[in-house]
Order: sequence, then structure tokens, then C-alpha cells
Amino acid sequence: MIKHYDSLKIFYPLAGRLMPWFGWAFALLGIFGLYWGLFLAPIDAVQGEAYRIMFVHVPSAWMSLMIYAVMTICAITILLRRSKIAEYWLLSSSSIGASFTFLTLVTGSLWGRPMWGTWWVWDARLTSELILLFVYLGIIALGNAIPEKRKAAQAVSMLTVVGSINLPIIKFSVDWWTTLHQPASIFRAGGSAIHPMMLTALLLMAASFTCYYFWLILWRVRIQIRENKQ
Amino acid sequence: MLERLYKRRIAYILFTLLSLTVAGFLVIKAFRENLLFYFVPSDIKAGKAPINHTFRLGGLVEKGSVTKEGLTVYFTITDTHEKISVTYTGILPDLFREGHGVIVRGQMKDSNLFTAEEVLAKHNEKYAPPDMP
Amino acid sequence: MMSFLEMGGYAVYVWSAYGVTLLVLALNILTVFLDDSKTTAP
Repeated sequence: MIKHYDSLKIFYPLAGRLMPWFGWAFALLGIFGLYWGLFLAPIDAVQGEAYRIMFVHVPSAWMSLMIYAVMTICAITILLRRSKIAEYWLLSSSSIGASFTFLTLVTGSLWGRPMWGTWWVWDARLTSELILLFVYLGIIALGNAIPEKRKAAQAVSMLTVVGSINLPIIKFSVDWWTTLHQPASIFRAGGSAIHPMMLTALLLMAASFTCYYFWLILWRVRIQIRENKQ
Repeated sequence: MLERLYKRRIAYILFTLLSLTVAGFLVIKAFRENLLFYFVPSDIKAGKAPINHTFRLGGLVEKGSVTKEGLTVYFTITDTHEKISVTYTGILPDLFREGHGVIVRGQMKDSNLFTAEEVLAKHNEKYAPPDMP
Repeated sequence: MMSFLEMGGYAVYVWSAYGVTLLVLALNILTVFLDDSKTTAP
């Protein structure tokens, strides 16, 4: 137990020192990313200017998966041993994850309407991402349904581990089934199929969103540590 | 005592993961067989598509096959092995191009013409400016 | 500048996508900020 409180004592000030770095990195990388994506990256031969939606859509989609993967690591940690940091981290992540999943679906829809000719189809990629949103919402609901933090974290851990089966399904849906959604452009056999100027903008936005997540999660975990002391 | 509790927990988690893997495998298997979003022309020629119902057909718009009569379009969908002629009346999506992917929903109203109610353009994974190959 | 805002005719879709993204990201920050001020207050 003594050890346990020590780790919180180390974590709290460390998170406080790291937070501004992530916050500023989010803002600066975001400004660079937007400038690169909206001004420097050339027009796409087939999609015209509409392709610029991908600079917010693709990083959001990556975040929706990455945050869930981080949550799964927290969940397994919680199921194996007591860890307050993992509990707080898990419970605080779900709403940020849900936000990015929501953004993925909405911005994808805004791209699909002019490009595909439809806002929505029930193909494997779109459906599995929608399931992810519902899993996130279920996690948020469950976490709030149980007033005692430790018990809430235990229950949420179970659900998170169960839901993690959806991650590989989302990632590989475009390869396993025939979908309207296009296959992966960057992580594919034969190398990236994206022009380097477009790829740079995409990576800047992805880096910015990643810093955003770490900025907010450290902030939220610190708030939870404070709340629990009171 | 603690040691035993710890071991039991690990056993539970391993069991959960194992059953999940099995469940996931089954879902994938089921999906593979039943939840294909579209059929290709070869499926129709092989009799695998539900000819009497509304279904989706996907493939490439054959180069030089698009003809227009007012709002009605005629074109051919190919999967490089087989071809199916398609007709559609309405507005085409912006990504609809000859040589590009397309998915149409409709019925085989007669044996060699697919009447589409909806045309969706499929994007490939390439992103490049106009002067790139 | 005008042609930039028009986004080749896709203005509605492109700017809605960027708009909703900024809005949701900002709302998240606001929520955490409000939570923070609740706990630091005596």
C-alpha cells in the first residue's frame, strides 16, 4: 500500500510537468498540420479538394483505435493487480475515445456524400466503426452507473477487454470482406500510396491529435487523484 | 493466499481471451460467408448472386463503355474476367469514372442487363496530384 | 482567397468536417477545464 501511494506521488507532479508540453505540441503541430493540409498539399487528381477531409478523418480514425488499445492495456493491468493510475486512466479515456470515433463517422460521412454518392452504407468497415462508438458509449455508461471508483474500474475493464475483439475487425475489415470503404493507403504491401506532401500533412495532424489525447488524459487523471484525496 | 488469488485471476483472464478469440473467429467466418457487401460479375456468371432479388454488384467501369441518353446511363462493369451491362437513371456520384471502381444496387431485370437503383463510386487507396502517374 | 474558401465546390463538406472536428476537440477541453476548476476551488 505504501508503494502504491508513492507511485501516485511520483505520477501527480510528473503529469503536471508533462501537460503543458503536450498541450503546446498539440496546438503547434495542429497549426502546422492545418496549414500543410489546406495550403501546401496539392489537389488530388480524382477527388479534387474534397480529399482534404481526410486530414481530419484519418487521424481521428487512428485515435479511435489507439485510445481503445491504450484502454485495453489499462484494463488488463487492472484485472491483474491494483493500480489507481490505470483505473483513472481507463475511466478518463472513454469519452475522448468516443469523441474521436464520432468525428471519424461524421467526417467520413461528409466525404462519402459527394465522393461515393451516399452518407452511409452498412459495409463491414463502417459498421464495425459504428460498433466501436457503441462500445465506447457502453463503457461510459457502465463507468457512471457504479458509484464506487474501484468497482466501476473493474467492471469497465471486463467490458473493455471483451470489446477489444473489435479492433482487429475494424483494421482488417477492408481486406477480409468486400467493402465500399477503400483499403489502407499507408500501411500496405508495396508501400504508401499517398503523395509525400499529403502524407506529411496527415502525419502532422495525427501527431497533434496524439498530443491532444495525452494532454487531456494527464489533466483528467490529475483531477481524479485530487478528487479522491478530498 | 494472495499468490493463489493472483493465479486464479490470470486463469480467468486467459479463459476470457481464449473464448473471445474463438468467438471472434466464428464471427469472422460467418461474416466471410454471408456479409459480403457486393458481388462481382464472375459471381453472377457462376450463379452465386441472388438474381431474383435486389443485390449489389461491384467492379470497374469498363473504359469506353459509358453512354448517356439524357439522365439515363449505360455502362459495363467488369472484374477483368466477366462483364455485366448496367443501366441507371439519375445523378452519378463525383468519383464515377471510366476505369474506376463502382458499386451498383439493383436487379437483373433481364438475363443480360442489370437495372440499378443506386450507383456508388468506390475510391481506391491512391492519393496523388494530377501530374502523378 | 475566394477560390480557397470554395474548395473546388466542396466547401460545405470540407468546412463542415473541419468545423465539427474543432468544435468537438474544443468541447472536450472545456469539459476538463470546468472539472478542473471545480476540484481546485476550496
